Amino acid sequence: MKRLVALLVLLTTVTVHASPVWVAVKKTVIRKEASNLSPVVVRVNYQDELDLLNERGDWWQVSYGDKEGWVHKSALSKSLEQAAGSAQKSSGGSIFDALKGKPADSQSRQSSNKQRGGDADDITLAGKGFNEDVEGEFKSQGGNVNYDAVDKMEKRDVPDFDFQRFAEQGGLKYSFEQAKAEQEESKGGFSFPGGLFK
Amino acid sequence: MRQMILALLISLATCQVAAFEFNLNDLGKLVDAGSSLMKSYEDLTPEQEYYLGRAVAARLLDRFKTENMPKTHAYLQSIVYYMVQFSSRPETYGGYHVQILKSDSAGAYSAPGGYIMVTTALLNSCASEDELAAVLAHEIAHISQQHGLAAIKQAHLTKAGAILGEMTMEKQGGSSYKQLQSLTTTFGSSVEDIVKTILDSGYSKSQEAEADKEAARMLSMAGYNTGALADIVGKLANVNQVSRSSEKFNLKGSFAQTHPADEQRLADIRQQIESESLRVNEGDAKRVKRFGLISSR
Repeated sequence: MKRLVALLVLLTTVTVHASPVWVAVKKTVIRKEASNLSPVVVRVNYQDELDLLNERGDWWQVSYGDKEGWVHKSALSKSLEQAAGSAQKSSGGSIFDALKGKPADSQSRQSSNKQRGGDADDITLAGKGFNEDVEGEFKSQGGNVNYDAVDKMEKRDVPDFDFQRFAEQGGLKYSFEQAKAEQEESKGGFSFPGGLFK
Repeated sequence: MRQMILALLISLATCQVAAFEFNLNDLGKLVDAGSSLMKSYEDLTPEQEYYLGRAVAARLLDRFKTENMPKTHAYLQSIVYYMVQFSSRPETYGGYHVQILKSDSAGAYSAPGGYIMVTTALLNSCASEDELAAVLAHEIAHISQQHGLAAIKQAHLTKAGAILGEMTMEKQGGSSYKQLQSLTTTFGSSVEDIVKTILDSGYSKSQEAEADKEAARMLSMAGYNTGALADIVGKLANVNQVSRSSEKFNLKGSFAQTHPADEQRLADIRQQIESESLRVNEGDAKRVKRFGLISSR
């Protein structure tokens, strides 16, 4: 009897509190505060599942394992479909779930994703659609493309870039306060899924 | 109490069975549902946007010679890293990247997902870091507002969605090579839609106005002189009018021939600066020096 009650309580808790979001970019960071200048709490990778705790403007408060912090919403999606493509390779979810981007086995996937910490091998939800396979086929067809130049462009980086130092060295007195007109227009702004930019 | 719990459990089980039956009975409808997966370009995931952007950039980089210039690239990349923090979309799937193109025509181009290309002629036209930041902010805004993706014809998106629906149906057994080929054909058509817009027709006036508007706000928040946007837009229109006869390609980027700085565009930028009280300043000596060190190379 007690086991049955415990089971029901557990189910109810999961239903009420589960508010997963997925990392929709290759890599990003969870910061201590809702600011680009705030210290990094932990790094997360594509398709890692986080728990959404709160929303504040363009920043979402999330937890990842025992870590907690803030991520800019442009790096996250409330829908696995939008984060990872429209179908999953993993077993356990129905086709309906796949089409709707709702993993039937959300809880087990969540825990396994978190345990694995986003290794390349854990991409069981590889995005369908315009992906690496399509690019490979596109390349093989020849045509006027220079992917070597694109790869070179992507590798170019400024590893020691420091936002604060760049601003100071250029005498740039920045402010993240948005103009009034922008605040009015940006209500709803960037958000996956659905309307992205307004 | 026990009866209530049992009743609830039976109810839950019934729901599961019903859901299972729904899946079995409606498989055919799900293929059709696949077609609606991409009702518009906004349904593309950041990862799909990334691969489209790579292909568009690959097409553009095939038409231009590229410059190496590591220190100038690092400078431009730093400005982009800085500026994207003030955009509506600081993060994309693969991040933002810059490439300098060797061309006598002043132009700047952007591909979906974060690829920004600027010509040497454009760099030479910029008189300050503020003007350079204005150009880059304008291109970042095109990316953040997905103007490239908006160029994809709806028919191509619908076709891609239908193929995806088929692939989903067969996911357990793996998709066929034929389906991959079909999807790749649609991918290629979508890439050409974007390339054609960038190189031939150009973005619409309203899209340019939207990009100007976001760029001006980014510049102001970032601490740059917002007036630099109007300055460089006006300047490049004149530069390109002079160099038009010597064009090697009929290339038309955001700052090139198809969207000259007509009076309305300049008036709109100036009006926005005034109405939103955006930052206007003369530039800082430190910044002038930093720009001078790079531009003198």
